[in-house]
Amino acid sequence: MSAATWTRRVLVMAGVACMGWWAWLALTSIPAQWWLPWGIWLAGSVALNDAVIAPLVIVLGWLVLVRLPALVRTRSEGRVRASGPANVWAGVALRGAVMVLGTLLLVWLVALWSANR
Amino acid sequence: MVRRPLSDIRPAWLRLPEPSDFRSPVHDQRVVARLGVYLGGAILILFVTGLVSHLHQHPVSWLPFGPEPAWAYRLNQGLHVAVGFASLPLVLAKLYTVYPQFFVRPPVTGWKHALERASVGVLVASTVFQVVTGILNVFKLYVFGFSFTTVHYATAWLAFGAALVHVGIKLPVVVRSLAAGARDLDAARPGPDSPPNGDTADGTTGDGTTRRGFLGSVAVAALFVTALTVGQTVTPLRAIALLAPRDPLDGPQGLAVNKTARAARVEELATDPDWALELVGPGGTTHLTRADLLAMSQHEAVLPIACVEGWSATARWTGVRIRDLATLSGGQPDDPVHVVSLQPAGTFYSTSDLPGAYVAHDDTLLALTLAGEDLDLDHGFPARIIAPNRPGVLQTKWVSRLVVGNPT
Repeated sequence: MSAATWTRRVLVMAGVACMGWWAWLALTSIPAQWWLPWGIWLAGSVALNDAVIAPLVIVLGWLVLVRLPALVRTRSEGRVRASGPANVWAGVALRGAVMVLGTLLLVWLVALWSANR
Repeated sequence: MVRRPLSDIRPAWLRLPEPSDFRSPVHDQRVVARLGVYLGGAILILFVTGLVSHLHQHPVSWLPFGPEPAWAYRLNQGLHVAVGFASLPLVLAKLYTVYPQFFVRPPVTGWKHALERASVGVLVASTVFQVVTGILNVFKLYVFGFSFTTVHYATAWLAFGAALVHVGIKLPVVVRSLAAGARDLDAARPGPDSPPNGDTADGTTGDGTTRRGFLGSVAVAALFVTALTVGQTVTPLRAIALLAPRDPLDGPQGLAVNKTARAARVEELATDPDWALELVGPGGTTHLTRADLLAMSQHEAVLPIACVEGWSATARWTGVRIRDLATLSGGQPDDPVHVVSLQPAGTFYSTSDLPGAYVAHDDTLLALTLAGEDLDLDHGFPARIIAPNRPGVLQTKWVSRLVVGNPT
């Protein structure tokens, strides 16, 4: 058996052991009345990303990087079009702005929530 | 009447997307693998530092923490919270890049595939949960319906375990994706094991500029969110800590307060002129007024107070060495000491325990003054514990009773 296979098996077994310890902790140190809110927060965390944040970014990306440039191209028919690299860097800048400002916005919203309580 | 299937009469824009619909070049294994490595490193740091913090608060005999070095807990918890904040853009970016896999059909092709997808589901749920609840805890937003510390600790094992399993499963893809080095990002061809999403279909580029730009923007986002929050523990950066919930030097006597006397419901008891420390030890029980304590040998210590929520600051404390009190009670200078606060019994951190190594340390004090002045009520007047390399929640304030050793 190769070293890579051994490494993978050890990682998976260690991971399963950690999850087993989690299950033991859940059963022995977490009161049963917390299981439901715990489960809701776990599932809700995924739902928040998969149903809200990721689709929002996808739609935003489509609007800014696909739809708007297409509209501009249609209107500027017959004129000199923007060069390829300009589009590339516009895309990089827009994606970067969405990532940076989006992250800061999320933390700022939490700070605002905390300040208002 | 012929009934047509729903998929035939549904408008095209209403159908569920397929992985091939996501044509951005960032949905590529080369990007996913790199983000995975960064996030994996962050998860490892978070797990280890979180475990250290947990073991400080729930010590075990086989791995005791001592009072040296004095700055260790401050570094540990500052790192934990800073990396936790930096993980936010990493997690969002990682989930965004793999989002098309959410729509793979058929969703499950066999039991192995089902197990792999289940492990990914557990990893996503637990990682997002840890980052979200951790950030809410830093802002003291306890809206969970469960105790944060207990559940955050338990879920850390789930997240770390799921991450190990995921790395074990994906290791060959990660190695292949990274093996070609950063220049491979420039290639327009799909990366290893990538679905053949059109790399140029979004009208941006056929080269790797967008991928590198995306990774760069993730790094910038992580840097920004860290810079705007880390000032709560790296005090030179406090001027730009615009998103940090507290300024470590903003509070009575130039030091932040996590729990006020009013919140702890001790205002009346702590200002009672008849307050006296009850010192219980092998030699019996004695009562020491604040004047008695001030008349004893005083020692000054410059120590950081490091909160589990990530903020920390160094201050100058003066008071009586705990080991002197242990000796006075008839015990040994390295006997463990149980500390009781004026806070109502049963409330969080109304008691704490000082192991023998802490009791014996020069700088472990029953502090009476801060920065040369009597302790402010919110800092624990009439007396509080201050010790090196210790979580803030265990630096018990408004001390009413010390029990030395294990008196029967």
